Amino acid sequence: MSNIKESFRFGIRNIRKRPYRSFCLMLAAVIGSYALFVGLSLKASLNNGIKRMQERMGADFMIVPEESEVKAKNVLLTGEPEFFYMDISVARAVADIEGVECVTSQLYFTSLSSDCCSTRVQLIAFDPDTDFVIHPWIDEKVTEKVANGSVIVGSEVTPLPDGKVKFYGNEYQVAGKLGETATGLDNSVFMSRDTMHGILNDAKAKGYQFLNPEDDGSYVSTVLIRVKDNADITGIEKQIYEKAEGIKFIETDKLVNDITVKLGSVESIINITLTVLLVFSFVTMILFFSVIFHERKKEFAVLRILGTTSKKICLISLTEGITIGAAGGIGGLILGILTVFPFNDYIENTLDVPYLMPAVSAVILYGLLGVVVTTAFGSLASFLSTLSLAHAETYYTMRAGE
Amino acid sequence: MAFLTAEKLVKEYKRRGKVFRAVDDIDLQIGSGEFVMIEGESGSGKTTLLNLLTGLTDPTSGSVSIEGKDLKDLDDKGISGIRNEKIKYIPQGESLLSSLTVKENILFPFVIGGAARPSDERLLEVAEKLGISDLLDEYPSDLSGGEMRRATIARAVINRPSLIIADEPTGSLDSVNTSKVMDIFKTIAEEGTAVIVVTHQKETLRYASRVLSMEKGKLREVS
Repeated sequence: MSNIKESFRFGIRNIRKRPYRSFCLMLAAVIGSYALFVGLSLKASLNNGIKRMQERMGADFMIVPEESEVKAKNVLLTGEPEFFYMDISVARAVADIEGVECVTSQLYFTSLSSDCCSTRVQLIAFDPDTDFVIHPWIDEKVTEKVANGSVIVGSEVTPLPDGKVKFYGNEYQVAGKLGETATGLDNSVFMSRDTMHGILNDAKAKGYQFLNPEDDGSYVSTVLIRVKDNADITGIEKQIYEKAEGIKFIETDKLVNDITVKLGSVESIINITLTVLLVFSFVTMILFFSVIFHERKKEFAVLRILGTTSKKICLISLTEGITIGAAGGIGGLILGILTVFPFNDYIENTLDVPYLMPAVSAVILYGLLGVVVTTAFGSLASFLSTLSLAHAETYYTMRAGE
Repeated sequence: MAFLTAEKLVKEYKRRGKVFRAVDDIDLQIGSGEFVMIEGESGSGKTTLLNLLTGLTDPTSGSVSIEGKDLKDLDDKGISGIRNEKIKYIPQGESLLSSLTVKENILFPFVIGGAARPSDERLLEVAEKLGISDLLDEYPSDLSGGEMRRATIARAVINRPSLIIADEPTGSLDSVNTSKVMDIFKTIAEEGTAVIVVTHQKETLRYASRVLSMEKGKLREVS
């Protein structure tokens, strides 16, 4: 072959002339590329989800009513709207404890999926004066201030066409939408206590008596605490339990750790599956190429007879391997895209852990990696299969091929 | 100087642990324009000898020289270059590349070696002489055994090489086509190309300027 272009053309002709054989080979590459793209995207989404969740927690500890620990976790993790509360005195008691840097409280309420509300979501009222959890997050994404009567919505909450949301018959202007957090907070609506007061009144007027709105200032759903550096955590926990009854002290790190453990097992399954499929893809390609090149012994012998050097024969088979690996890799990537993106929500719900797709650049990188790896598989498999043929005496190769 | 020289050429194989000499101490010289035919029984070592002469297999001992160059001293690129341009080998059986058309098969050695491809007139002339001019765009899978054989011969003769070595080239041809092929070989030899043909067909020996006979690895001059 006078140049690489001619080797490439001849290799492509061989692939096109034997479509079934080429398709079978490509299928092995499709599996490898698909596994790599889907596996890496899933892993990245899980790690991204947990990382974002950690970032958004903001507080070191949470205090919730003793019987509402599961509900509180639901609000954070699954987005299932919950309603629970305890006396605000807990927040006041905590503020005086040695080692506590700042304290804020939140009140949770839920909207309904009936006509009175645009959607059933978690309503969260926070105290703008003491808040250190929501505000940094709001400032990052939303430029407008949360005025009284307006709300900030989570990434999964869709406002009405006029840019408002309706709760218990009243509409509220959406001042901004937050970025995705991969937590239940994506399905929440944030507001000031005054706005929440109005909503509670409207709910009461419609016959939904969850909490006396006159007393809403006396209740909180959760108290969020940030402690000073090197604070005595055990001591703080002990003092909190001494000062308040019927509460549950939750370390947010432990909450994240629990999820990380769960994530670890999911990740192990992904790693094992990915490894098995990659090995399967590579071994299958080697076997296929070996069998096919064995059947093509006579063809290689003819090439030698016509004056093709061993090097050029390797180049021809390498072209076939590269083309099949790359084409299969692209096929796997397309299949992967058709799986990961349309089924994103389904995967998220099935895995039941924070799940957040990585940036487009990372997804592109995984796609490219899949194609590069299967192209390398194809080249290596074809090269290894040709090596013995290219260097064997042509006479024997010819006879063996007959 | 002879175009091809073989000296004390020996090729041994092992069969069931025993050493077997397929080619036994052969000396041979072929000059330009010679038309040499080698006859002999199956298993007498004819094909092994041809493979040694083309450098497709290595001798156990002895040497083969092309235009004074010992093939042992040439690397893969050197021997491949000789096979591409100077020696055209027509092996037994079918040897067309299945992914190429007849025309592409005939021109393939020029794609490999990068030498200037022959003119369309030359291609048509050879194809017409061999009766395959209307088959140039067909793939080998659409041809009969005889047609494939003639296409293979066309590939060998098209660039008027220095030496054509053919292993039973007319084995699958009828008498008319056998005559056509032998006429082509004779003409090409008259034009200066050395031709070595191995055959079982005694009636074709009359075309040769020199006939050799092979028996149990030994070569002897018949006429």
